[in-house]
Amino acid sequence: MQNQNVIPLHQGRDALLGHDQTELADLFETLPLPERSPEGPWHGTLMAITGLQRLPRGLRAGLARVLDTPVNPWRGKTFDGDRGSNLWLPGLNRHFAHYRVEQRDSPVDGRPVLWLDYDEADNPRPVRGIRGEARWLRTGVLLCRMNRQDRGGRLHTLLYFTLSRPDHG
Amino acid sequence: MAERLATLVIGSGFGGSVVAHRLTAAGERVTLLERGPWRDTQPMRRRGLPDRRPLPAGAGFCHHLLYRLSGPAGLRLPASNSGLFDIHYDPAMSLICSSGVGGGSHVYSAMNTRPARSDYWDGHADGVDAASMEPHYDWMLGVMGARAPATGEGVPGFTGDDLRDHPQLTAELDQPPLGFDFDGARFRDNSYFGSPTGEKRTLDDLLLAPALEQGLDLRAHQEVRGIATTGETPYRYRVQVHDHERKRMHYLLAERVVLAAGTLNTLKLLFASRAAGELGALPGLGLGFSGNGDQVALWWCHDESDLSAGTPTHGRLSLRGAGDEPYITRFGFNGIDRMPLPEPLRRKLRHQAILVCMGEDGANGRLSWHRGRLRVAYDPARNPVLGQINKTLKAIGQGTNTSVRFLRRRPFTVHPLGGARLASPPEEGVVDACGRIFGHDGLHVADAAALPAAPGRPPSMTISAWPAHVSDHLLTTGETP
Repeated sequence: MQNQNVIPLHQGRDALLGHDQTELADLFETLPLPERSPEGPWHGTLMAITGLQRLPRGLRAGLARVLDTPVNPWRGKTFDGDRGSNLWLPGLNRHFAHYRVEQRDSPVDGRPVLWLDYDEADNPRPVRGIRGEARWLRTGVLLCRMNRQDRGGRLHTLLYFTLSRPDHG
Repeated sequence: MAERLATLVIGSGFGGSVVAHRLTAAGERVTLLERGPWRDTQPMRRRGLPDRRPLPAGAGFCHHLLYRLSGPAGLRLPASNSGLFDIHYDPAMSLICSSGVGGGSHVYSAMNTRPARSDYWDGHADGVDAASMEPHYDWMLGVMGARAPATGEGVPGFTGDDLRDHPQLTAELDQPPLGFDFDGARFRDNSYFGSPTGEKRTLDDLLLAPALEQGLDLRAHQEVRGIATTGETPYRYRVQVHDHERKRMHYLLAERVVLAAGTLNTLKLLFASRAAGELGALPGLGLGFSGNGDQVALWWCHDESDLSAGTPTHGRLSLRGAGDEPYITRFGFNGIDRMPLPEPLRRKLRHQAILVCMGEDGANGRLSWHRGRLRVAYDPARNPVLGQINKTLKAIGQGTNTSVRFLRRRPFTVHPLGGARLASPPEEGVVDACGRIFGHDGLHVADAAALPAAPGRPPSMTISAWPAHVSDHLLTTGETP
């Protein structure tokens, strides 16, 4: 039996990259609402993607690091009051996939969450079923969960990601 | 859904077991997380505790020996989650700690003593002084059932008997009370590698198992990796835990957290949490680190008798006329039968000894955190007691015409102390007179990291007195969940 991690980890972004969805759901449930609504651009980092959960922890973390490079065209999100959109690499549609922002109780764990609702008329149909949730991980960093809502209204978690303010990478 | 806990105690050694026992006995709801396993000793078998892991012995000696080896520049060796020792190598001073339910009580030398100075607790912070701490020493000595062997009692290897007529050495000193079950003892296998028969009294048997019957929720194989403030009440702290059995992380929320993971790991937790932007500045973190003047020497004394038998330590000795300091104790290679050694070497080592020395260093070391690693800054030149100890060891060798060998330039300690010390202004320490981390209600340090100075004696009773004091505060000031 080997020690998996020698260094004490913490709830910083890098420490989460190897987490699976169960671990992140556990953490997400303990997090508070943002003190105030996010504004402006936030850098995104994907992790715990459905379909990759059976990979070893180290490989999951490595893939998450690769997806944090320009290999991945998704760069994060930007917020403007009760609206927001995703940010993509230059050359692509910079603000593809919009959402409404509101505060409500999460249908997953029943606790307050910042709710990102993609059911917008100008989104392509497949995108409209996406429902995002966000809570404070620590100062300047949000932990978010991306869900897909099926026709019966049930939510299925697709992945988790962090959003970091540019000065809190 | 993440668990919500009232009081979470991290660690089950001389700090955590005392807090958990006293709070549970007072009716508090307490959860204790211990990264290591229950140990497979006779007292634990009798109690029927499940999932016990062996102490190092025989073919499995190496596997059960090392929990972790870490150090600067990313040094890391694979180890076993049921290993007994956690070693942090640092060129300035290496630290050796233990792992498992009962913590250091399995590997210590069973010496239950007060500090060298009777005013040890005076003058560090209002609300703590020698007089108020004295009942805690009495309580813990009572728990351990500690007593010193008597001359003529027939305890194998006891220096009071062995050195009675020695021309150069004397044992006419205050001999340390031992937390040892003398009745029917075999006087074997009660060493640094644990006491499978339970001759050496350990905290899993004395404090933790009884607390289980009173409602303590003790979880083995759970290693805390980080602590964060939630900014919410009543659950003010979020704790990240690695479950070594299920090999996954989970998270807990707690109203109150008591850090007692041992100096090395309590400090790692505090440094890591601070580096992650939690717990504020903690300007005094890392100050006041001490190795308690530890020095160990191999004494090639070729004694006629088998020194591997006896109590965990044979007792104190000194050069005749040299006085009471430094504190020198003799050990045999107790437990040598469990070590995988060639028989000729084993035969030879039975007649040699180890000298373990302690003294009041200046507690002027400093720990820091660099790229996720603990760093030690400790200057032996600023701690003259170390030179005095080395000089005494050399004099013992010369006086007895034997070889006494020790490392002069590679300090290490099995008694790391301080770093989150008790102090009055927050700039000089980390905890106040109640053990509470400055600026963080509900977050306490109850192990040797909080000690304000080097006791200069075996520190287990001083470490235990502190959590007893912290527990009393938690129970009497209304700071209860």
